[in-house]
Amino acid sequence: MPKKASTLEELYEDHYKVMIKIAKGWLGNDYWAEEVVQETFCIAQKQLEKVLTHEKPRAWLMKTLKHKIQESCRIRDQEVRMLVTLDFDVPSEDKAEERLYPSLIAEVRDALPEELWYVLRRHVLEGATHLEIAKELDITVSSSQKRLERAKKRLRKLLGGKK
Amino acid sequence: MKNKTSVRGFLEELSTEQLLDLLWAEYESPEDADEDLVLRIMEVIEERDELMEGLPTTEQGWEDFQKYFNTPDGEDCSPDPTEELPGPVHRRSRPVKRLLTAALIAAMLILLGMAAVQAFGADVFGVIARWTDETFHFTAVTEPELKLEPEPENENISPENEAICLAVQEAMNKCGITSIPIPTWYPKGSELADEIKIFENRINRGFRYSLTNGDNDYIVVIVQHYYGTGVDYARVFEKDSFDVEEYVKDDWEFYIMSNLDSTSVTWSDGQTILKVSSNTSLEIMKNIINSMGDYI
Repeated sequence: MPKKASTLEELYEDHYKVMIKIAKGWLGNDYWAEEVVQETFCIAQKQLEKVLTHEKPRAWLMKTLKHKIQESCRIRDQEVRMLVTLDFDVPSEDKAEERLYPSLIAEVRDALPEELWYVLRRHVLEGATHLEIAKELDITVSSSQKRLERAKKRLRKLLGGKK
Repeated sequence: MKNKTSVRGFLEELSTEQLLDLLWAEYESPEDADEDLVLRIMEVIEERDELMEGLPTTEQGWEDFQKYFNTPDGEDCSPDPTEELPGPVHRRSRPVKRLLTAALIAAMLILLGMAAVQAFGADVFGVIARWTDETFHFTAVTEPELKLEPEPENENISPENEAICLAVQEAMNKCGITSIPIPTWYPKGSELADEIKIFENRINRGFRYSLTNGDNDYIVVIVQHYYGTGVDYARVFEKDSFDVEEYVKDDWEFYIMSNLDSTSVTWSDGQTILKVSSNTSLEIMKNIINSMGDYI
């Protein structure tokens, strides 16, 4: 019987590979897959003792990964809907890049500092993951997420529209 | 055993896409997922190497995890300040408007004594805090700090907090830093989430650690001692548009700020920066600050 992991790094070595394969299979995107897997391990780190002493740590990780993927998809959908409903009433299933008008894009760009516009454009309009953005800007994933939140808050305040 | 072999054989006959669909369906079903089935599906997927094409290896993934994810909340990877222009210097205390929801987690605030900084040949300067709606940072000034009072001994650390204090003390010793004040008050159930991480680079040295109470609450503490001209090379902290509150305890001036769902408390003497970040309440953070001044 293989030795049970006793540290986060050992847990990572034991389960990362299969988790990222599954995440990629479900999401169809390498960066997105890595991001959700890494975030799953962040959660595992916060509950490390619980995971390490769990009867089936892999099952725990897998369940958490699945929730993370669902949450990630939901947030992406919300972000796209948020952007398109700022000034225009469009159906929620439409993608931002198909329905955003040039004047709205210009208005959004003018309303935001460059660093916030960059994250919003890359993530919401171009579909980049926070991990990709973090590598481009040499910041952490958490910083990228917070910049997007600040961009959204500022847009809601300045441009109005629905949440 | 025969059943397991049959199931395994069946699963191996399925395409990867079918296995993934089966796995997803297991989680989507109204009943709890069959963990044994999930694990067997995962075993089969694990053996299919072609799926790893284009994906980071385990070693690369672990590197990314350490660099981009396993950092204190809101911290920037870049060692240099951003191009953000500093805002006006704020000296008056203002109330922090944001009301934070949180469970109880312990925070540790570590201060480095002046004596420790002097021992490494650094000049001790004052520091000014500057912030805008988006960022916060310290700037060293040329007015020297003159206080070099000896640190008082603490005699009243509670037994349940002693382990944490001793671990931090050990980290400080390894960093060559002495005279550490350690709070004696921690909310019940607080413990170190992992080993204390010690670091050193061309700009600074120090350590960081996080505490948890077993739920999704956290407190992260970083102590960074900067070489040379000190905190001018320090990172710029990101914050939201709520005001920074200045909070004085004894002769120490702390700055309390928020960044969406987290609160940070920071302090500097011009050479060393302390930062504590947490999703705990403002009241808890102030209690921790108020407990400062007890030493091991």
